[in-house]
This record gives sequence, structure tokens and C-alpha cells, in this order.
Amino acid sequence: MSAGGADPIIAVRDLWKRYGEREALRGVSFDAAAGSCFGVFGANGAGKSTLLRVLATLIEPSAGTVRIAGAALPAEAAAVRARIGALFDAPMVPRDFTLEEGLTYYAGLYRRRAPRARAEELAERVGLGWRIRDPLRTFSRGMLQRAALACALAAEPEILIRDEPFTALARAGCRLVEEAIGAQRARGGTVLLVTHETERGARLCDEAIVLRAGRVHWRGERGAWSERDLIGAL
Amino acid sequence: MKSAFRDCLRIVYWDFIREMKRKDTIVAMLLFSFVCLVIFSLAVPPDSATGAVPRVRAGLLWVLYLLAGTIGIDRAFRGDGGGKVLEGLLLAPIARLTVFHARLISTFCFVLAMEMIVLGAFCLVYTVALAASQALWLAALIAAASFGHVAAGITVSAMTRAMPGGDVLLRILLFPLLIPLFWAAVDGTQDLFAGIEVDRRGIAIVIAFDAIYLAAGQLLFPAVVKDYDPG
Repeated sequence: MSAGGADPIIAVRDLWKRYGEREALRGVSFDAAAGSCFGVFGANGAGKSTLLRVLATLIEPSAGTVRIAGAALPAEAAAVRARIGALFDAPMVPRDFTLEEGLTYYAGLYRRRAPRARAEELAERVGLGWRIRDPLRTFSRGMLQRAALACALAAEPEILIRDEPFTALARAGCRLVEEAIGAQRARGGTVLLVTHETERGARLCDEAIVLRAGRVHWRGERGAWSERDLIGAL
Repeated sequence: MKSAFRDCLRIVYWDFIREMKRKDTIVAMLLFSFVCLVIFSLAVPPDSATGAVPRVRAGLLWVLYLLAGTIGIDRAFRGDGGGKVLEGLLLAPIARLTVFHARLISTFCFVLAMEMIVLGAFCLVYTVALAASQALWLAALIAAASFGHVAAGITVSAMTRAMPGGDVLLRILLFPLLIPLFWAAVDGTQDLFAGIEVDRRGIAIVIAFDAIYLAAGQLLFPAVVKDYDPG
């Protein structure tokens, strides 16, 4: 299933996640190639967020195997966390921090060197240089999305996992996210993207799956699908 | 080991920065304590027959610490912007135990700072005069008992964090667990208030419970956050 025959950096086989009687994921399998952008699509409640949280090591699978960069989950979760940067719709830093402090804090969690010196550059990159010394609690939702993007860049992960990165962003903000995804791939990194935006998703992703009721309902192999196929599958 | 220590210090440092900005944990505990102290001094006047009994005084002090300290403990995970900050910590390449230890240290420091300030006010209101050696023993006893209070508290706080009515549940689950610890602490404080040399066995009991609560927290915390729900 891996694109181009290369070893997949994310390999998921027959993944199940149960919450009591409820089955959130039912035998999900896919591979994502290193350096690719892999899209996960689906309606609300399809299991996208659960899948993301399993891959981000926040929840443990009930059954099946997940290997990320050669490390198996959940046994080698610590090794996986060192290589992924999972970000949801807002920076996961205290809202009383300024953007500068937030970036320094976040980069520090990933043991990146001289983070304070980089904070200004990162804030400029996401168009928030003028608000770098303002508390995050004063930011709009779109600005928090941009701040989350800056955090992702500060962590410099090998695999970037983003959940709905375009939500609440104006066109310029969306362009920044697309540029960041491009930059991540340009340095050999992988992106796993969950989004409702089919047009952007189709443009950015090499491969994609559509989840429905916890199962893989549709699979778009590299170079063999278009936005129309995706919309049809959704 | 070295990197875990550095990670722990880093989280504690940022917890202090956050508290310096928000000041809501220490200020909330202090406000609550001072209001309680005023009410206690009216209900049990220091110069009354009851108010002069060392055991009553010790009991009042530890009731203050239990209630006010639990306010600070409650904020260890709940004041985290809807659980997002804890989620960020759990996503980072940091061991779960390091997150637990860091929150334990920072919360312990906040609670202890509050307790030392409240102790000064309590001694003034109830005209408690302690010799230097007794004051040191009392400080050590307070530190030891507070460590156990915080260790048990943040473990239960992590368990109840995402539950509906979790703040109430925290108190319902935590207070019975703390009875033996606070019993020993009240006994030791009573001796010191009465001018008697503190019973070392009491302090040993407190330290033993500290070790039990710490071990339980270390075992339970990784399991509690295994299937993390931001709440």
C-alpha cells in the first residue's frame, strides 16, 4: 500500500478503537509514505479525530497494529512522540502567555535549542510579528490557528499531524498553512492532514482515505484521484 | 534520567511563570484562608477556654490547610485552558511521570507558600509563640504533610479532571484518603503548640503516607492519562 514501494513512515493495520460498546474505529488500515502529505477525510463522527488521537499517542488502540517511523504503538509511544508534532485547532500553551513565551515554551517541550531567538522569526512567518508580546487570550480564533502553526514550526517534527488547520482562517492564513505544509515536505518531512476542505485537501495530499462509520470507505492512491472522486466518496 | 530532570525543571519553571501572570492559584487559596481565619477567630476566640486548647488550634489550622490547599490542587490540571495545556504536555516527547512530577513540584510549592503565609497570620491571630526549634519542626511537619496532600490530590485531580462535577468529586474522593495523614499532622502540631517536643513517630507516619501517596500517584497517573480526554 505504500506509495512508490518505499517503506511507509506510518503503517496502520486493522486498527480498532472501542469505547465500551461503541466502536469508533473498525479495522482501519493504510500506509503513508515518508515525505508525503496524507489526507484523512470523513463526515462528523466518522472516526477521524479518534484516528488522529491514536496516531498522536493520546489514546491507545483496542486492537490492531500501528507503526510510526518503525516504532510500534502503544509500546514505543515515547519514541513516536519524539518524531511527531500533533497540533489541533489552537496552540496547546497557557493562554496567559504571550506569543513569544508560548513559542519558547512549546519549542522547549521538544528540546529545541535557542527557542527564544527563533520566536520572533516564527511569529513573522505566520504574520503575527506585530502581536508577539500580546497574551494569547487576546487573540481571535484565526490568530490562534496561526499561533498553532508557529508552534508546529517551532517543534520541527519529522511527522506533522494537523487537525482542521484551515478552520477560522482567512485566505492569507490558509495560504500560510499551505506554505508550512510545503516547507515541511521540502525538508523531507511527512504531513498527515485531517480536513473538511476537499479542494485544498485534493491539492495538497498525495494520498487520502475517506472514513465512514469507523471504516476506510474510500482510498485515493498516489496520482490516481481527484477532488471530484473525493467529493463522490464523501 | 538527565533529560527527564531537565524536562521536569522546564515545566516547573513555566508553571511558575504562568502563576506569576495569573496569580489565581495562590491568591484564591490565600483569600479563602483569610476569610476562614476571620470566621474561626469569631467562632472560637483565641482568648476563650476552647480557643486556648492546643488541639483545637491545631485542628483549625489543618482544616484551613485542607480546604485552601485543595483549591490550589484542583487547579493543577483543571485551570489548563480546557485541558489543552495538559494535552500539549502529553503530546510532547516527555515521559508521563515527568509531567506528574513537575505538576507535583509546582503545586507543592504554591500550596506550601500559601501555608507559610497563613501560618504567620494564624500565629498572630491566635497569639501562638513558638521557640525557634519548634517553629522549624512545625515548618518541617507542614511541608511533609502538604507533600502528601498534594501528591494524593493531583492524582485524584487528574482522575476527576474531565468528569462532570469533577471539582466536587475531587473533594469527595480526596478527603477520606487524607484522614490518616492529617490525623498525624494535627497530633504533631498540637504537641508543638503545647510546647511539648514533637513526637518523631508522628512525623515518620506523615512521611510514610507521603511515600504511599507518591507511589500510588506514580502508578496511577500514566494509567489515568492513557486514554486522554481533554474534557
